[in-house]
Amino acid sequence: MSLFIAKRALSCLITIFIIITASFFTVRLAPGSPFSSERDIPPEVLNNLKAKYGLDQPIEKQFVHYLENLLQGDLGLSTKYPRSVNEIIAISLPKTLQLGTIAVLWALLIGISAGVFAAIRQNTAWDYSFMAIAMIGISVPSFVLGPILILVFSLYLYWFPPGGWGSFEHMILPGITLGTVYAAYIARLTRAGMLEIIRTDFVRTAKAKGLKESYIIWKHVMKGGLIPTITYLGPAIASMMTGSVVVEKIFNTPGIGPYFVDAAFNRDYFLIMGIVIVYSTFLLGMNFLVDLLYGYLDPRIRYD
Amino acid sequence: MTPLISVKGLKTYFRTDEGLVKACDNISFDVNPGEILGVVGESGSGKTVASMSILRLIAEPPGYFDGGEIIFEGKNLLKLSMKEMREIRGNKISMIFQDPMTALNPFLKIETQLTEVLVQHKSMSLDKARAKCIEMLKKVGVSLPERRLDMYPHQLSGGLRQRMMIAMALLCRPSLLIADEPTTALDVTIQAQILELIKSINQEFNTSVILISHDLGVVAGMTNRLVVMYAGKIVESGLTEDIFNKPSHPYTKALLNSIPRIDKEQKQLDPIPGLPPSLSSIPTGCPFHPRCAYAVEKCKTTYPETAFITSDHISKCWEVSRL
Amino acid sequence: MTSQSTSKPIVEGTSLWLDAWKRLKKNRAAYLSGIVFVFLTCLCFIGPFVMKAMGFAYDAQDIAYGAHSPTLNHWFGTDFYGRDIFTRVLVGARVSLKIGLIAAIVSAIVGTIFGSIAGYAGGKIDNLMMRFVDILYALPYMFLVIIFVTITENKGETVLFIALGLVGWLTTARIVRGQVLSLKEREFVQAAHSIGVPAYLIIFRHLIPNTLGPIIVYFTLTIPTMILQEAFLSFLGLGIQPPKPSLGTLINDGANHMIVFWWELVFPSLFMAVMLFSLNFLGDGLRDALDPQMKKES
Repeated sequence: MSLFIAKRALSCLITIFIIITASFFTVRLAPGSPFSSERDIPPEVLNNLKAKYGLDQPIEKQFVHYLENLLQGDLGLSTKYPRSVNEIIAISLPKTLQLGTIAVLWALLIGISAGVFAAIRQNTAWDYSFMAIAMIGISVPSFVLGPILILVFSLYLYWFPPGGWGSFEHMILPGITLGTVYAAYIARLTRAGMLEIIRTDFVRTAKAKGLKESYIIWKHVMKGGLIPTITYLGPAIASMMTGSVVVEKIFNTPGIGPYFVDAAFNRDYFLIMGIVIVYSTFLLGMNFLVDLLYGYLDPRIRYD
Repeated sequence: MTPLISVKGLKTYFRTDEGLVKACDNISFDVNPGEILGVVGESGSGKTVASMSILRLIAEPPGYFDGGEIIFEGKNLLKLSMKEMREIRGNKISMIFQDPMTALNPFLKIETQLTEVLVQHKSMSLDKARAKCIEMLKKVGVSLPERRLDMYPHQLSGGLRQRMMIAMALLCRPSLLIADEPTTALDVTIQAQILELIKSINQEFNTSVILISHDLGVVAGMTNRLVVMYAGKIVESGLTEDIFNKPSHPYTKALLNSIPRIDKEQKQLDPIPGLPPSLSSIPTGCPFHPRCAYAVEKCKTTYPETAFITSDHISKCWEVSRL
Repeated sequence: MTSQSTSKPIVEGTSLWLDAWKRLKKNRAAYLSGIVFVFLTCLCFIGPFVMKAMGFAYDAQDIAYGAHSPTLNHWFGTDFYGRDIFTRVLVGARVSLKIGLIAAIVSAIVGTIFGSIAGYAGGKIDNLMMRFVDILYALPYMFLVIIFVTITENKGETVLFIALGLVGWLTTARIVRGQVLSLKEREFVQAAHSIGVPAYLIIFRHLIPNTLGPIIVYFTLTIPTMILQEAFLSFLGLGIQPPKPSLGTLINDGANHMIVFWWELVFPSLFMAVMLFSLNFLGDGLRDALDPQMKKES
């Protein structure tokens, strides 16, 4: 078991290293530079700027330097904002994470309960309407859902603020907007997973033993039935927690998302790298957790 | 002798895309206390559906009971509520299935799967239930029962899994055990052991057994009486001995001719020509007529009346006299 | 439902595709979705010409008329410049459909080739290739597209096709690889191998045709995803550029004006939702129809 963890952790580290290398050189070798937008910069100022960020060095040297700093937890300076990347992430990431937590809770609560309920009421009106709603959830993108929620709950009903940041109320609408698509996918996956188990011979055995329906669902079906959902949850939680550029834009959330588009536009080298690293680490970490959870759920999986 | 369970005119139908499937069409049989009844037929003959109907394990819909009754302890099982039915399942009537690999839950420890029966039906504490399970595992010939309880199904061999299933079925001392092809998925050497175990359980606990099999060889030495099914109907029933000595339906006869026997001289084995019919398109008249060597014009149109060979040996064939 | 439904020995030999088609037709939701989708597609491709002939070109302005709620003349109302929103939605949806379709085709082709090569080669090559896919998976999908679009500094449709298609092939590759891995152990492939059929022929003649079911299913489900991604990018201002409309830019405009001109948000959103809804349902139905595992169920 510990060997498995060590192996997986090592492969995660290697993957992150490859991602860092690849994105470093892609961003660097692409046309354009952080200072190309300000056309009238005199050459000596430009040189000073380049020297400030270490961009006057050969690219291999810059890379080694970047890695050295990274190992000490230093993500470098933003070329657009008068701040270090660490500061920008430290300020914006917690907001995105809070929003993501609301979204995850919403998605799990709605998704799993609707999926389980639809599965045990298979082929009833409940099942059909839940699945139709889930399909709507998948078909309505967040940039449609967000404005409509604002229209209804902020501008018409005055229940929640239409955007901004500050209190818990500010997180509700963006959280729901972000989480709904995932809730819909989770509901479908959960239903399908549960149905697959409900059809198995061992559930028939459980019925033949005279066990209660609710007990069978809880004890015999849930564990195996949730495995597809868990698989999906790894990447899903990662992308909810890291937020969505669109949702944060719609609700004017001062999270990390808008910085990314901005950074990509402005060739803000270190900020792009910083955000990519944060996101990838999150995703790999979540997948790692999911793998561990598998072993707990399915005793047939061996770690070796 | 009053039968332990009495199935009368059972009709279990399924509504499917291909039309109405009459999986059990007017099935009647009794099981007497302490006896082993064999139910024989090819796959698709409705024998599994018949046994699942007793425990009401048929999915409704698409399945439904079009008629008939199943009398057990003076009550019609088809009329019981789901709650009353639960009190019978696993408690008074137990079932073991064909494939012990898939019939046990791979996600749960054996202990959970055994003790939950006692917790449900006898309201036992877990400790007491565990002790009881160990006792039962010893009875069904499982060595090191304490250690096996902590295992998961995939850590056990096929034979051991089937023993676990049998132990699970017997925990509440049911009066009827339904064994649906209990040895089909097992190695030949293990098959004999499991059959021996079922027989000894029948004698030791006086549990009646319905033994379902497609294999006449399996039921031959095990059962007191036999029911032969074909295309959802019972075509012949009687004492096992009588049926083997004087098969009175062309299908039974053909079945017997298609397996090797040591008690009779055989020149060759004769496979039955053709294939069993699809239950959604059963031939008119006697369903066996397209494959029957004795079929006459009447067989194609009219379902045979009951012919009595002896008082309890019956056959559904127009041409009994020619057999 | 165990023994009696699985043993249907006397059945006429129907092909997998005919069988699937029959099942699809029986699935009323999917069948209806298919009809709705075809209708919407026709509407998008024919509608704009009809509207233009009637004097409602998508870029015809009527500033004096300005933004107006729906009337008999302008079914979805008009925007700030007096442009007919119905026509603009049709043109926008046409752009979205085109991009969705082509991006899905690109990703299906790339994914199929990559996946089948990895699966067929096996061993170290397979390991390396799938590692590569894993790494791309670990990269933020949308971020990748954004980087690609901003780096090329080109916001034309072609860049969108490539950007979306190139990052969308990962799942197809995984699916195809899995299928090929199990298929190549089968007798007919072994047989082809033993008589010296070259690898590329085995892949194209034996392996890919047998994985077509899952590929088609995933392909139909990729189209709505691609439409969505394109709309995302356009919404962020990285996709289709005005005055050319796409559903994403229309919805973005609508969201900006929703307080006063609600119809600018509602109609494009609704149109998009119905289109995606029908495509998703169709894809779902196709999967059920082509997936032999689900066959047992109904």
